[in-house]
Amino acid sequence: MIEVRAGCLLALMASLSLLACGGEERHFTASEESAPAVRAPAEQEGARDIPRDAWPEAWFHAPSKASEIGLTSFKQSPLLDAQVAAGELPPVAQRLPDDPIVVTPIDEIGRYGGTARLFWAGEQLLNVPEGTLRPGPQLQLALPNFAERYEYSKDSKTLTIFLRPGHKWSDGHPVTADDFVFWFDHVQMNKSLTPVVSPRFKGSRIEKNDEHSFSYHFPQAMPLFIMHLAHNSSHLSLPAHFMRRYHPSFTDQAQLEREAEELGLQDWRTYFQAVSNTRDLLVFFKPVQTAYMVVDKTSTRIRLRRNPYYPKVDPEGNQLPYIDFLEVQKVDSAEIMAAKASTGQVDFAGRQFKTSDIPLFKRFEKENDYSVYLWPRPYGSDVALMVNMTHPDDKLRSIFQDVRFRRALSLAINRDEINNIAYYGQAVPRQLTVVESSRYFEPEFASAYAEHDPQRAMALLDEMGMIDRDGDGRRDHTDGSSLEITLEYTIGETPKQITVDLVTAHWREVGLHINLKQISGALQGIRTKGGHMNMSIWHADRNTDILFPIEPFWYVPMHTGQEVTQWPEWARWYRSDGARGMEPPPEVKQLIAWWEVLRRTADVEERIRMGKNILRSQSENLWVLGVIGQGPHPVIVSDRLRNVPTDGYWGWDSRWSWPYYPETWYLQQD
Amino acid sequence: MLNYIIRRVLLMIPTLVAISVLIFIIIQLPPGDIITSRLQELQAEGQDISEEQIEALRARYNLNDPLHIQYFKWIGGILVGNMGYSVMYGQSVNNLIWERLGFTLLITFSATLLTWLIAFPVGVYSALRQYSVLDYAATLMAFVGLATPNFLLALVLMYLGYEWFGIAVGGLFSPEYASADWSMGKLGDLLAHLWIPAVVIGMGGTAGMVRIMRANLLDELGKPYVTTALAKGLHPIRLVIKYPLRIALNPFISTVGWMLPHLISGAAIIAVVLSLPTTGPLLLDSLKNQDMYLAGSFLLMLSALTVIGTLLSDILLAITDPRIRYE
Repeated sequence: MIEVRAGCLLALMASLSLLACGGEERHFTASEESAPAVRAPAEQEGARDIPRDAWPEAWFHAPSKASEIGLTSFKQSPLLDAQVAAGELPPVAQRLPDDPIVVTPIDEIGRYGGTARLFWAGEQLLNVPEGTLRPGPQLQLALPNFAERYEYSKDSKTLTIFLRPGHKWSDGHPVTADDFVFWFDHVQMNKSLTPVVSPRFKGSRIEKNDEHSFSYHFPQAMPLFIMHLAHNSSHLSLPAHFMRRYHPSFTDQAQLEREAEELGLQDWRTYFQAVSNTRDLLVFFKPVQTAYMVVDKTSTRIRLRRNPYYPKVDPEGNQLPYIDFLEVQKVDSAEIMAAKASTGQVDFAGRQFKTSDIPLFKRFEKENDYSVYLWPRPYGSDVALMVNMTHPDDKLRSIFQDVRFRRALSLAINRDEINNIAYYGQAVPRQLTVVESSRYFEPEFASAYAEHDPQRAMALLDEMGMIDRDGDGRRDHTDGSSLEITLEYTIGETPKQITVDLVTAHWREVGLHINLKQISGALQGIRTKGGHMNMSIWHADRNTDILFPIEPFWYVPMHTGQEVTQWPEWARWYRSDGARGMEPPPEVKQLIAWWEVLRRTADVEERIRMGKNILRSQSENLWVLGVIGQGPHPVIVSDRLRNVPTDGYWGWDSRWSWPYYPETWYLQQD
Repeated sequence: MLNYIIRRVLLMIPTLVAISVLIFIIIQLPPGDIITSRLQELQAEGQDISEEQIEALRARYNLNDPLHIQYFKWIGGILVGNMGYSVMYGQSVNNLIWERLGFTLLITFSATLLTWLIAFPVGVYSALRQYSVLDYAATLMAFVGLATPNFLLALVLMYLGYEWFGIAVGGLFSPEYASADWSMGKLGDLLAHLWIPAVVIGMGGTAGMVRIMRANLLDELGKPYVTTALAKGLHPIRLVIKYPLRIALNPFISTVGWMLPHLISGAAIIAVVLSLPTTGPLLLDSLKNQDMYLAGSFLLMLSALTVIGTLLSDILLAITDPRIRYE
């Protein structure tokens, strides 16, 4: 019943877009709209790689310190003046670190004030969960953020992080090594809170050197751990002075259980988690390091206020962020979000939007006072097509493991047609490999078997003996029995439905009839785990220098999860040290060996060589097929929101807005 | 009468037990569970989560227990007023439902009130002035109302509300009042937003009620006792109110009990479209994500309210219409 109604709803949403267009037919073709309206970087035949000069040079380096540019006096938002005057807050110079971080805005020095309107799913776009390091704008570098610097030992087994003296939590308490030690020893290594230790911490320990520095000691060399810190490290510390009160190592567990019960929580673990995630209960306001802190929440809204202790300033000494408040609105459906965005009811948004929303957004851009920036998604392919090379059925497995089959599948795809239909010609037809800005990239990796050559595809299939023997127009198994292959897929995030529709049509043209079956997300997990799927798809993130070297799971069987369905049993074999799963063939073991070198070596040259070995193997063996990559993602920026770069990479690898210093964006007041 | 009520209440117990077992089985039927659907969201975002972590989480939430053990744990909690714990929201189900119940009641009551305020007079008028211009107009409106899916109406009103009045689409408050304390301004703001959900939710019901009222009253108006009373010189308005209308009310009374379950599930899709802070979207989410305790408790509450509502309707009917009383 619910499903049926939800289905009707979706159909109706489509009519909303029509309605919103005033009944006019929508026209949006590459020829009409592309060049002038889309503020694209210097383009070469649709390539969507962003040149380095799209951002200030300073963003590619560690942020300067106030002392380095001779900055000695600091200013604050007028919002805080009264609190300082009343003695509730110390003056700005005392709230900032001893030597504040200086960030250069992309266009101009901003003005203080205002409330930015965001969607629930997009709160983190302006309130980024920042950590010790940050990704550089081209997603190649790990740069210092809250941490002042880092240092590896010679063998890369010890990573020392140096914090900034005087950096404080939002309650004014100093951020120290204890906060990191607390999280590591009492959360990550606590069996109750973390049943399975993250693989990257297995066998590791942490050591406090002094108040402002600490070291991670790894059992093996981990020279790429900084990439993890740059990408997703906000959770590696907790305000120890505040959280100890809720942890049984420091407070009587029976009392915590009692308090949890009073709050209607299951046990001390959920209590601890609820306190560390302020939003859940809004009873305890856990101090934060981020630019904003939650002050109020209802079931449909969150209001955030500037963190008075945020440690960054602009080159004139104004404490960041510029914007005083964030007003976050909960909208349950992606279509309503698009409708609200197209009527100018949000200042910055992009999560949940789709490539197919672009015409709607473009249509109302001028009259509703916002701009649509098209930020490329740093995905190797929006849809990664996987055939299950460890399928339990012998006949299917032998076909799927045959490289000729995968090459034929790839050659049969008319990528230009898909690019024109689903992407308005704005994306890059390519084989699955890292994005162009990656140091591991080679043009031939992206062009391998990416041309449309149905003749060659058919020749390859004929050569395999997959010939139509019963005359029904479909190719059969090599022994003449009829061939049934089903592609199971879930939708969301990227244009998956239209891509699989078109791709299977292309395959039919070479005689391969592949059934489509849309399944629920939950089922995808279970089918992957059982290893039953013939074929499946996912969106291929993790193709930048930040995540490819540490999680190359499209190309190396190092991960078991529902995203990667091309070799579940080989991955299981690797993850269980050979105890379970199937033993991979030598060329796949070679991939693992290369990756082991890549992730352990401190020699950058060698690292890149190993990465290219892995990617070259992908370009020859097509472990996973790519279709279209670096597709345009619509990002809505209201006209009053300033200092937003027109170009950026939009996706998990960049944490959407993080490399682009959203704390320097400001609201034009009128 | 008292005996009858007691018998009915006792019968409710086995009914609810059977329903609770059914609910539990139905929720468990689809593949996967709350952990798989939660993790699917995280993985779609790009978080790195492996099979081992999924297994560990499942063990923590007792999802590896045999089904009958899970059932007794759940139902045992409900008997002592603890509806369990929502994995999806990280809070107790009691908290989650209470938080949203206020606005749900407000919206449902205003919608029902609106329905009745419109449906009664229009229905009565349509019956008394059958085939008049206004009757045709009312009939037309009623059919349009019946034929239009509520959420389409919601979308249209949202668009018009924004286009003509500049009201922020969806929600119950403008941003400036959302987190403000209660004041006249906030009350006004609430009323300015409340009419959209009230109209949308009430629309379908209104249309149906107008038709029922009209048909019932027409049945009665043709009867000989009406003619007799008119012949005796009874004032027509008094006559209609005192006799035919009372009888025509029966269908209203027998459905009034259904309001109770609607209080909880009321118009989930509309609430999603309009971003309302009601229990509907919560129910929908919990079902989609197979959040066992939240979904189960919701469905059980709905069933209990349906059973109770039906009983209330029957009792009310017995009170207002002596003909149906069991003696």
